[in-house]
Amino acid sequence: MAEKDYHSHATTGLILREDTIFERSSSGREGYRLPNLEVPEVSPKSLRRSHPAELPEVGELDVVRHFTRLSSWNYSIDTGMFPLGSCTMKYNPRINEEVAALPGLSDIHPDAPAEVSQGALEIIYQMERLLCEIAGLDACTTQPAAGAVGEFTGLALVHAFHKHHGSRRKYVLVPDTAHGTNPASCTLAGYETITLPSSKTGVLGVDTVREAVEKYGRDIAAIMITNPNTLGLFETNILEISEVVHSVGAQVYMDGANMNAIVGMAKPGHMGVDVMHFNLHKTFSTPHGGGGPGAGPVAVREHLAPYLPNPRVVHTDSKYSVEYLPESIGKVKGAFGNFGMLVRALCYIRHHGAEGLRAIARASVLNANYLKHQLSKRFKLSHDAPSFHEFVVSDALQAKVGGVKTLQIAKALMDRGFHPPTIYFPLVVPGAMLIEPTETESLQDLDRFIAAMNDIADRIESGEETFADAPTKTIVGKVDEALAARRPVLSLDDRAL
Amino acid sequence: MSSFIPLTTEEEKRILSTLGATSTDDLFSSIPPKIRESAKLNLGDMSRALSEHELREYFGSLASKNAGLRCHFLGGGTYDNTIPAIVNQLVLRGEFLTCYTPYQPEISQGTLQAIFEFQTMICRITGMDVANASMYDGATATAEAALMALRLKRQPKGKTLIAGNLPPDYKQVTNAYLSCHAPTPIEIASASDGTLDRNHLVELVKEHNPCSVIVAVPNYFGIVDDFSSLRAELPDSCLLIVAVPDLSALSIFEPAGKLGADVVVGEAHQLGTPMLFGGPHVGFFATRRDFARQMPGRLVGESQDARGQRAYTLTMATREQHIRREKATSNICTNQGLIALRTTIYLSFLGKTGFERLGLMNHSLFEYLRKELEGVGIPLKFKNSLHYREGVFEVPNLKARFDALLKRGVAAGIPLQPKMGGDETFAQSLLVCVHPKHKKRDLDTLIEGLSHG
Repeated sequence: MAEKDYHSHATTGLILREDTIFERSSSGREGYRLPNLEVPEVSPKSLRRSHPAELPEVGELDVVRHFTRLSSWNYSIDTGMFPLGSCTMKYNPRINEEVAALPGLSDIHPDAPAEVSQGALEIIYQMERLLCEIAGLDACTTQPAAGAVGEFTGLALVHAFHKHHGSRRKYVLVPDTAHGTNPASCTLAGYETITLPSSKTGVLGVDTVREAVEKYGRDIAAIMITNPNTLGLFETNILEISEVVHSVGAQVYMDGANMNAIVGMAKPGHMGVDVMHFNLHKTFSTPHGGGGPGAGPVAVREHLAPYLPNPRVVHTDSKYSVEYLPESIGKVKGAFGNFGMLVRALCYIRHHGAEGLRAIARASVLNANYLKHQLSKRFKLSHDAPSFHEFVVSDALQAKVGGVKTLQIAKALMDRGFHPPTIYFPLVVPGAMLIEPTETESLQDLDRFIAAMNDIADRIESGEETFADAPTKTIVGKVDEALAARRPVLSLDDRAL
Repeated sequence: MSSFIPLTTEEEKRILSTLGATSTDDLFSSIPPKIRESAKLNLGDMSRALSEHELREYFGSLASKNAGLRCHFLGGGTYDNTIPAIVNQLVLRGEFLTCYTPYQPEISQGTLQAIFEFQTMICRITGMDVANASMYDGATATAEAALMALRLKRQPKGKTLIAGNLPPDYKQVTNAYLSCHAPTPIEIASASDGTLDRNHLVELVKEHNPCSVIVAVPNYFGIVDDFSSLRAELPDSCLLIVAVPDLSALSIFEPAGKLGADVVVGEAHQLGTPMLFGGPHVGFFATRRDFARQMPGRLVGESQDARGQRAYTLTMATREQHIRREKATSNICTNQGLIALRTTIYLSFLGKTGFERLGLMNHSLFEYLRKELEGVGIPLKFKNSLHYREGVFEVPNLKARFDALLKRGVAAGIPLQPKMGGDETFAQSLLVCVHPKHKKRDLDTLIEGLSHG
């Protein structure tokens, strides 16, 4: 590969392979030294495990080398740009990690008496207050462990609200651009999903919603709408849509996965939204950690507040305490939810302040529009409409010229030192590449990404490459996912099967 | 401008001129004016941006408001432990901390292999065939197990029996997860010795023909119930779900899989993750091989790459929400990747003998405490049952003694009456838990404090 003006490109480097930690085992080797036991050792008199669990027998340096080696096989935000649409892979500030690990915030027990947990309760209380203001809503729970739990919680609140008003409803309206979690959460909450087609312009039409409302009427529990949607477009009809939905007593749920585009620039509560969730691991910079932990707080309008999960943190007479709502939906997660993520998100919000939060939305939208402008010269843009923090291009041009599909383009990007965009999503655009740069990428890094994409387009157009074998510079080549599903090896002990 | 936003004023101008826009506000013009005009944030006393130094001070002062305990005996689902330095440091490596869900296997082999190792460890400890890549926590894992039973039995409105002696959070979360679309789980009573009331179970099974029965080992009272004959007492059609709120118990007690469990779920944060006021923790979900395709959450499998090398990938994704949408086995997307990694590193380092030793330590510390407390007239409420690391003690004058110890910086345990829905029979009951950090003098302080005043 010729060196272009994106200066980070993949080389073979020195990549060492490594078997599983079990294969480093040496019988009798001991690792971590536990504290000394100062009382007589006794063994249980019955139900004693006959054979100890076959865990590795390794030393400290074995463990350090093994996991350090493994880490080197991962692509991460710390190593490069991560333009994954709708995932908001922004920089994860290290001050967040430092404060979350403070003694007094990390080593505290949820059942400790409130008088020795005032700091923890204050963090929960303040986070709920801040998220209410950002949402333009009245009450908030930080208990849900992730966005998907937030969705379920929001729908359970809607369910409780309707039930309280003697109404049994069956359906939730979900646009076809929604994340897969939306319909899956509807099922979990006992609702049937009615998929609404988005219009040619990419947004949801008022008439589409009106038709559904006329057809299903008071059987509709809610609409679940992502705003801006996963095409990166603001749902311009949101006020009218909310009005139509409310006309049959149904609720408006907003999936806040894309809040990064509008934080400080628009409040969901002012769009007619009754309930929404945030993803702290997107908008508020808590690390993705290779698949969690996240946190999915839910904010609601006053009429849904009586049903929020228990316990509630309250502030009276300058003291924090917990109280229990009689009509609560109960609990959606043990203890107080993913408290450690609240600490990080609060740190991030306070780092920015009110103006800084607006700056996030503005810079993320500027960056995305710049990328869109440059990439649409070579890749087919899905919708020529004003977009926000992300946008969709497809493989239409490359497929036509060289028969090269999105998957190959994604894998070719790896060899050029970039994580691919979100691919084949949203489903409404064939061969979609959903691109979200976030506000923390510099203009220079955006230019490097553009150069990499252009290089790929050049090579396809000239017929030089089809990228059928990409990636070639990664520690493993294209992985046979079909084989993995057909012949499942899900633990080391399955190898022998 | 925030130090995390690299854009300069000059660059902003350059981008705007490339776009042919006059101001950044133009880019927001598709938001209806009514919404745009009322967007100003009022963060009150939190409006101002803080420097890194000020953030340290702010969180330092919040942390100090939680101080005041020099020793505690709190358990009940969240457990304290010592955490090796290498666990804290390895998980801070940016390649683990800031990577994404491993949907692109070629650039995620580190996370994928670590999860494969996690799955292997969970299988070996629980005695089950397959384990997934993690759950949010033990409570949500229990709820997901009940949901899987309804799917397997093809009875969306099927019934679930749940032991009353599960931790309250586990019961409440399972209730909330089920009650929107299925009957609320029916509680199985506890016998007078704190174990599962087997007669009541048999009656309920006969009456309700449930899809699953959920029991706990150890249960909320710290009791390790003998379930070796339980499977045989249930009809074949009913799934036996064993919840293990403390995975370390299986270091010295027979794994639940050996007792004929169909699903073993529970909590593993106590193996390498701090208490964190209750989260993020990490749940696990293990089951029989033939149920793998009905499992919730993610699974990592071993495969090959185009060059014929061993490689790992997420697998059986057709169960998941991003493919199957409303027909998915769960709505789980982001879960607990990094905490599962913590568990994997911790268990690797602790190793085969260390894991067993950890269990024996917890057991021995508790047995000492139980004997000594009995000696000063504070018996276990369920004294004939086998316990692991925690138990319910009947403390005379509980409130005064608890408060006096708290003044000395000792949280003596969890007073159970509020946790048991106000049940009068728990008025003097205290759930006391030991941790590997405890020294003999900590236990002696508690014994002395609980026996006076």
